[in-house]
Amino acid sequence: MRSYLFLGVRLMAQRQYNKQEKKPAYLLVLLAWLIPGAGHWYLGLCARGVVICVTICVTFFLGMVLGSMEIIDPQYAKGWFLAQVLGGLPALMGAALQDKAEPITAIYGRGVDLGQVYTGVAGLLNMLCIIDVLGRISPAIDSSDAD
Amino acid sequence: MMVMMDMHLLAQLFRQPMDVPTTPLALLWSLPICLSIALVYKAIKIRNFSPAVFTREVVLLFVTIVVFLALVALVLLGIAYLAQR
Repeated sequence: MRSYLFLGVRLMAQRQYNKQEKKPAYLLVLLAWLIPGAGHWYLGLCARGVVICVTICVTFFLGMVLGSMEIIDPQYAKGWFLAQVLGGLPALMGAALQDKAEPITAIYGRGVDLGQVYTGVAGLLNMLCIIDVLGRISPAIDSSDAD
Repeated sequence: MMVMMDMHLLAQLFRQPMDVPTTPLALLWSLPICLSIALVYKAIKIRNFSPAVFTREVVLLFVTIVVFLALVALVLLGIAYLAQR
């Protein structure tokens, strides 16, 4: 009888703990998309979050240095733009910083190609991180990793 | 004034595409992206996130990617050589 009571109290406490710890998925996805690594940080995996943030941001900005801001181009490079937008805030900042007074023209060269690859891969890596964050909050997956 | 000049120089960095020559050395530009992929992938996948284990795993994955890229390049070079004969 006493052990059943103890088990019941433990289950209730666990349920209460799970309720408190549950993070809303939409907030996590939004955070992980806007700031690379923020989703992991929010889940308490701070070291992973920092590594992801620094790596993705450096890759993205290196791509912009290689190919200039014009590579974020929804008009002439739709496919690359879709990949770049997955990078979140760095991509949005790049798009916002473009000189809107001048018409966007198609630009060519190896620097541009490399820049598109760098920024696109940075965006796709961020998508991988978003999927990982979603996997970690899913109850079906064991997410007992710690930093 | 100095800050304004620095900001102007920084802005110039993002305004003109970099001139990357079409030489074999330009292939080295694939190394930073391989490192990025190795860093992010291992940051997600590794279970025990300690600096020593993480560094070892990242280096291992980076070397694996580079070696396989080199192998693919060799195979493609061989195919191109055979096609030209």
